[in-house]
Amino acid sequence: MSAPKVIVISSDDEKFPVDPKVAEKSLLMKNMINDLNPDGLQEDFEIPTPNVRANVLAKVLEWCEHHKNTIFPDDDDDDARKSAPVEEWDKNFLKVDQEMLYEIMLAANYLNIRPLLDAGCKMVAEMIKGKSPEELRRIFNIVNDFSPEEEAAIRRENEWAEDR
Amino acid sequence: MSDDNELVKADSVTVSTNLPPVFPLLLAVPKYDYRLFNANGKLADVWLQKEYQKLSIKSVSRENRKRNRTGGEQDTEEVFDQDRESTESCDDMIISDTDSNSQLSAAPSSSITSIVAAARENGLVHPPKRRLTSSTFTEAINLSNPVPLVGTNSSSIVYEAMNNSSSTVTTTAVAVSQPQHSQPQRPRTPNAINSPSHTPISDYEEDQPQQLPLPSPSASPVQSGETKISTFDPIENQLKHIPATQVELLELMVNLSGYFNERNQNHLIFRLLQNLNRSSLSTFNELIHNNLRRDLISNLPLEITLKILSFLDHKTLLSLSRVCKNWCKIINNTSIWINLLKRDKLITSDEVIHKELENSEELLEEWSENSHDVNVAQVLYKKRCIIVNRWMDPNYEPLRKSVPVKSDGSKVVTCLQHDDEKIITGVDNKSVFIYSTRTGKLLRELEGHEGGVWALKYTGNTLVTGSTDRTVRIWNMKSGRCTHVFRGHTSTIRCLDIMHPVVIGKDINGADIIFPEYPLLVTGARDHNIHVWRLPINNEDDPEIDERPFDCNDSENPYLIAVLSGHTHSVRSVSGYGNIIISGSYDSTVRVWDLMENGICKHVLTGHHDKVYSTALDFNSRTCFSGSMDSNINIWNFDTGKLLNTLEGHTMLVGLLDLVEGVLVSAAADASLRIWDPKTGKCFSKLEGHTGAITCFEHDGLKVVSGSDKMLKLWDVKEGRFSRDLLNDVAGAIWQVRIDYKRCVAAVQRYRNDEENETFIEILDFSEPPRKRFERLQEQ
Repeated sequence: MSAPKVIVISSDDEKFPVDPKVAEKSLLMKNMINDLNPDGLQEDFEIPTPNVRANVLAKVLEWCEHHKNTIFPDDDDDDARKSAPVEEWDKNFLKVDQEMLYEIMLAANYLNIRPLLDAGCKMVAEMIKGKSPEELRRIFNIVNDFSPEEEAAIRRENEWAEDR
Repeated sequence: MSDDNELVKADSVTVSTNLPPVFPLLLAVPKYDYRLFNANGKLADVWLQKEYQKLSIKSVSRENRKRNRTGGEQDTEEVFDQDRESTESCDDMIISDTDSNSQLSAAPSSSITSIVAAARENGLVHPPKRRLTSSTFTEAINLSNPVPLVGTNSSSIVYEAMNNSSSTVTTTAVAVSQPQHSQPQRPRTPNAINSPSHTPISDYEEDQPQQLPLPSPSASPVQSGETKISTFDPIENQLKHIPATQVELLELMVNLSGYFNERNQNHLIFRLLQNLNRSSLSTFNELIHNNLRRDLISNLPLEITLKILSFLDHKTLLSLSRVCKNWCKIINNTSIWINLLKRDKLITSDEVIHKELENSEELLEEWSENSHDVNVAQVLYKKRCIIVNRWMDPNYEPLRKSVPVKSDGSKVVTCLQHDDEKIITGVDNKSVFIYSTRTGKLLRELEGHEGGVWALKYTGNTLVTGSTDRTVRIWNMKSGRCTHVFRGHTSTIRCLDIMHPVVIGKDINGADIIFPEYPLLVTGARDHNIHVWRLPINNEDDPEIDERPFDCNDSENPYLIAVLSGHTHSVRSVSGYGNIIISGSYDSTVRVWDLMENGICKHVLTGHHDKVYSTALDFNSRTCFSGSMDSNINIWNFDTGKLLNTLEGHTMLVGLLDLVEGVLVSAAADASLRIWDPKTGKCFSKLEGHTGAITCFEHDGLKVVSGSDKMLKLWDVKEGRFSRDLLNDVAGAIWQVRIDYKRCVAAVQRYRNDEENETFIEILDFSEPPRKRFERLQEQ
């Protein structure tokens, strides 16, 4: 008999059989597997993820598969996690439309996959870094709802940080 | 996106030449939510299900919320929401049906649907006769007699057909008001998006506003509410009329697509996309891409948003706060700015941050332009950042106070420590002077030592001094009284350190182990010994008593805890923390002493070839550092005694070492300073510019201030380069320099009235509030 799988089920009932090692990249799933199988996984184990649709789940599991052997910096080592740049594969992996990025980050948050959420956050931070307010509005489809007076006041308060 | 994957796949399959395929998606494989789903599912079931959902008030409000939030198409997401609600009861339907609000936006076709739904509930409508699967979709359209429902007068035909059909039941009020309300508004309302007549590709229709249906008077028979229906198949009705124009065909197809469940609707669009060539796909690609932009900052859960923001610098954050009101609100967050203060090393202690934030009114008044809307922590960041920028700006002139050191004989300032209120200096002529940091006024002169003072340190109101007269004295700084004289050393006391109780670990029960129990004083002397004393603490409110200080010799002194002997030459440097004392000696060794084990010498660290002049200790990483006359710096593990690294580079005596905020800085007699990574031993930068041996320096992780003959220089730690000269009228030595975030205190030699060299205490202050500074400069 082949080794038991974890079967992750998307909100739209798509079934994704994966190695336990892959599923365990998600702390949520890891805890579920361990809590409900105290003697180790004997047979296939289903985990529903009612918040994640198939398209997104496929993407997230692709990430887990790729990183199944990656050892990430300790959760406690905040500095190491913060300063580490997003690795090239992750960068390409997260080059998706904003909707997908949004849903991946929500899924990573829900499934508790910290390195993926970190990478997503860093990608969004990269999108933002060094941009002017006008550029940011364009990137994120936002309407400027400040009155000219309010805008001037904020500008005055922040003037010190502008390049001299 | 998965479509991209499909694109790639299709490419790899079809490309046999070098040309890209004209129809890239032709061979793409559908998957997940655009795959054909439940191919044999009955159309009417899907349709009715949708009607239930649409009629539910809950589902309407949910849709609206979602739409407001995203401002874009959210079909697939909504699908799932609605699937979950597909079990809405008939009661719901009828209740909401009579509520015109929920039905305002229903399309004509959907109003028919609801009629049918109602009728069906009563068991009076036959099940649908037709089955349409997507594989036969095109065929079905071609074969049938479609009746476009929307956009032309033909809508009336449908109603008439409905009314004319022999009926056994009244449609009751359910149907009455609907066409009236719904028709005019149909295409733009949120609800319409899921109505059978309105597919996800709404943009398509909105391109042709002239086709919008007008309220049709011919619908009046329905309004009468008296008509009866019996058998009725909406699809049949749709197909009765052969479309004659492009728009009729289009409307029919769009209407018919509403009979799919949502997944198959996606599949339909996928199939249509498969027929598109590259140019057309590109057209849609841009449209879709642009409309998928969303406000990630506002929409993600706050904790994730804060995480994103934690990766940004202050300039970007301030730029974000100008984007829109909501972003401004998000940025105005205390935790963001406190974290940034720490990350940028502007303030690293929580205690200091909270103390600063308590003075919020003054802070806002002095450092903010509009003190109402701004977060105090943000203003605190602004203040600290402006002050750092001033340090680094060669054109900024700090406020300066110069105080001559009034002293007979030697005016070598051997040691100096300061805070916001006072500056303590030890001079090589027996005296200790206390100046006011604010005014520069001499507050006290502490007399008692019979030789030069070469080491001092204070904590709170308690000052400790060590002298060539072989005594250690404890002073109450407030009263200026010497409270204790510790004797025992048989030669000059050259170095000392104060050890405070700290957490050094956890016991078996997880409780903190605190060591030492009370503050300790460690003194190192030329007699090769180190003495450890219990430090008597003088509180500011201790009564002013005029009595002789506690004074007794070694063997009887109850304050003496241990004498650490082992070094075979002068002890030049001591550093203590927790239970560990590191000492560096002219005997070329560094020793590790453990106070938990009665002060035994745990390790003799051998590796230097010459006198050790300086030591530093990082308790948490279990490492210590030593600088030597052999021009090397050694890094040791003080638990194992192992030499971890030797930092080479200096060419002469490394006299000074300072480890702050994870940055190790060394200063040498070769006129240079170096910045090191204490973990890896990597040299970040060489600071070159002095012309003589470095006599003193201090750093805070951001800036290094160093003194040598006639020069007081400021260096930027991050950039690793020279920033500016802080004083340009120094004529002789710079004895001592200390810094805090806003000021530099230096003891220097310079000319007074063009006569002889005098020693001055120079106080440079970089913290003048902008407005005050502006006013002062105006007056000048």
